[in-house]
Amino acid sequence: MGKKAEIIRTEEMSEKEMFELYYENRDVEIRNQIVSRFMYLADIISKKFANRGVDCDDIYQVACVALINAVERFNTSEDVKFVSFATPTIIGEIKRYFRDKASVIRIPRRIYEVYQKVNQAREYLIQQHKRAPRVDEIAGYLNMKEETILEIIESWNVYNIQSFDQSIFDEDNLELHETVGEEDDTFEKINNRDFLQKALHNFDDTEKEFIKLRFFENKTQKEIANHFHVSQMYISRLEKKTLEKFRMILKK
Amino acid sequence: MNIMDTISMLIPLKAEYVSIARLTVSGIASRMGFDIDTIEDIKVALSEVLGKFIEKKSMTERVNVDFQCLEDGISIKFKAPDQSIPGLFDNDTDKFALAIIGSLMDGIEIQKQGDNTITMVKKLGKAV
Repeated sequence: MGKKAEIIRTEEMSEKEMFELYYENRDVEIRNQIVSRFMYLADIISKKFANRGVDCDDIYQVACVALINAVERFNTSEDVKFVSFATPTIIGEIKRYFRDKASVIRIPRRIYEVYQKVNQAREYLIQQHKRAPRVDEIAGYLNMKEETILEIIESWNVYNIQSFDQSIFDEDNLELHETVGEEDDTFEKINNRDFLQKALHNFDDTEKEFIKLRFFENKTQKEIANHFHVSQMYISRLEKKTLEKFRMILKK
Repeated sequence: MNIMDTISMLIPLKAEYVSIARLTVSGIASRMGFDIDTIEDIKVALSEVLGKFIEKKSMTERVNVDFQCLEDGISIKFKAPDQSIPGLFDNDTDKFALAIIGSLMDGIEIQKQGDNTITMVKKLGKAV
């Protein structure tokens, strides 16, 4: 621990001094201080890309990484402000993120490129014809094949990947997975238990004991016969009688 | 109602092939002169039906889909062998699907005796 670096304070330094200091000794501590000073850039820029289908936090993260990279790459020898260098770097980084990572399923480039055009053509033709356009009209307007248009329209679906964690309304925090239902079999269990409890009132103690041994502890007829000191035949008849009784109660 | 032409498909009841059927019906409907919004409606209705077939299939692996071009519209007929799709459109969520289809198409007919068939029709020129 003898070589502990002295704490360097950059708050008072000018931008140029700060960067020169960093490039001299590449101290992460200094880099952190530089990044903190320009953190607001990542904040402002990432807000510009909000509501484009990617979570705001994700974009902010991309912007922050881009900011660190910008600090690493900045060249102090040229007479440029860091902000003028970092801003396009961060924007470029975010745009690249949108292009490469943002959609979960990637569609072929030829379709991706005309995707926007078809949308615009659709809007325009609705205005012009005062009704929804037909595929051949869009195809004619864009000078493309009808098949291509149909493929593009079909591929619209893949753009909206639904996450189970997304909230379905803006106002509350209800998430999609909470609304996807499934038959809850505990209801049936409760019903069954309730029925059993009520039904058992109709049996005498011997029968109850038998039901417990036979159906809850899964004993064989022979074991139960030994337990009651009777013949297996008797238990067999008892089982038949008990089941019959259950059927009667169930029908009622 | 004269059937002019029929195009048939025999497709596996797997989710990954629904898109193939959707693309096919969009091609046929487009050829017949439906506008793109109506085509979208037809595709949604078709997906609903195929979705239910996939959910409920038991004895069959494939379903026959006939696209019939009528003079004034398109009729889509799904056919699976007897007993192969038990409980088709029986429970409450199925009723919801049925309501969706009912509002998108101009008519739907379900037959469960013998072969399981569903026929739905969309008329040309009824769209606003």
